Amino acid sequence: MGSHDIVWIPNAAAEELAVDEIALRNLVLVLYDREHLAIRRYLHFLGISADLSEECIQEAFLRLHKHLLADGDQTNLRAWLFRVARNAALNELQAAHHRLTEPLDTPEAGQFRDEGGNPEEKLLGREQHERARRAIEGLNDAQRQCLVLRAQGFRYREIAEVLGLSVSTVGEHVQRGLSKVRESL
Amino acid sequence: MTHAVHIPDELVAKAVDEELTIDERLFVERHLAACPTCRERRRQWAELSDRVQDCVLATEVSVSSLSRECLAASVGVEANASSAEVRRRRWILPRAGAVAAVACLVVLGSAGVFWKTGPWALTRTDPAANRAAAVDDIRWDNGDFIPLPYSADAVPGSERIVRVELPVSALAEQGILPAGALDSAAMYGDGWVLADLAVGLDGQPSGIRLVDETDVRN
Repeated sequence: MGSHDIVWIPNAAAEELAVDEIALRNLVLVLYDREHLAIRRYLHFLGISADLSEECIQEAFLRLHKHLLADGDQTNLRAWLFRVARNAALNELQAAHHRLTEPLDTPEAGQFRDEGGNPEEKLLGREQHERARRAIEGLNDAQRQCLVLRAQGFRYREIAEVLGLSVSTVGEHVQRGLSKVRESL
Repeated sequence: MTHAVHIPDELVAKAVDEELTIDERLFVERHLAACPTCRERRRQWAELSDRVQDCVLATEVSVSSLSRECLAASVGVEANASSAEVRRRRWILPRAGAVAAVACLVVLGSAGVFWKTGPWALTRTDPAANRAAAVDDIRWDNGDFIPLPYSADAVPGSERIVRVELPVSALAEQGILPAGALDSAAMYGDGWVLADLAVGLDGQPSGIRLVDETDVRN
C-alpha cells in the first residue's frame, strides 16, 4: 500500500474486507507490472495509438480489479486482460468512427530496440527487424494478432480465448500467417 | 527412404509450437524420424517462428509511468464505484491536486474562512505534529475536513481518504497566503502542501484536509 493513500476502515468486519481488497489491489499492480508492455505491444500491432492504448490498458486493469472484487473467474487472467484491452480499443475506434489512428510505421513507437553489438550487427539487425515487421504488418488482422500473441508466449488455447476463435482456427491463422511472412522475407 | 507425401504445413507449425495432439505427435515424430526433408522444413519453420518472435519482442513500446500511479490510486478508491464511473474517474486522481485546490479555494472564499481562524487552524498551528502522523495513524475526524461544494456526498459518507499534494501558488493566487508557517520557497516558488482528500461513493472528492503545509516537494 502506498504511503500517499489511506483506506479508511470503520470497523473490524470492514477491516477484514479491506485486507482482501488490498491483496487484490496488489495483485492488480503485480499483473500490471508484468503485462502492461506486452499489452501495449499487442495493441501497437493492432494499429492502436499510444494514447488510446494507455487508456485501454487502464480500462483493462480497472475492470480486472472490479472483476476480482466480484469474485470473478481467475483462470487465465492474462488472456482476460488482453481480451478486455483489445475490446476496449476496438470499441473506442468504433465509437469514434475512425480506424487505425496511428499507422504502424509511425516513429512514435515500434522502433527496433538496439541491444548492443557492433555497428554492422546493429544495422543488420535493424534491417532484418524492419523486413519482418513489414511482413507482419502485411498480414490480415486475425493472422497478425495470432502471431503477435504467440510471440508473447500465448498458447493456441489462450489466443483462442482472447480472440473468441476456436483453437483449430488459431492454428490455421498461425500457419497461414507464418507462410505469408516467409514469402515476404 | 523417400516420402511421396510430407507433413502438411499446419502440422509442422503446430509441432514447432508444441501444440500437437497426442495422435498428431505420434504421427509427426514417426514421419520426421524417416524424412530428412520434413526435418529440414521443421528447422526452417522454427527459424522463421523465432524471427517473428524476435521482431515482435524487439518492438519498442512504452507506457507512461503516470499510468501506473493513476491505476494504483484508482484501484484504491474504486471498490464501490459503478462501472460507468470508472472511465470518468480514470483521470481524477492525477488531476486531484488542481481540482481539490480550486474547490478548496471556492469553499474558503465563499464561506469567508480565513487561514488562522478556520478549520485549517489546527493543522497550521502544529504542522510538525501533522508531519509526524504516520499514515496508519490517520483517523477519520469530520471536523478536520472542509466539504467541497460540488460533491453530492456529505463527508461522513465517504469511504476513502487519498493523500495528495496541492500547489501553494493556487492558494496564493486567490489571496490566501499562509502567514509565517510556510517557508519562502514554498510561498514564492510554487511549493506543494500535503492534504487528504475524502473521496465519496461517487468517486468524487467530497472534502479536503490539510496535513502538511511545509513545502513537501523540497
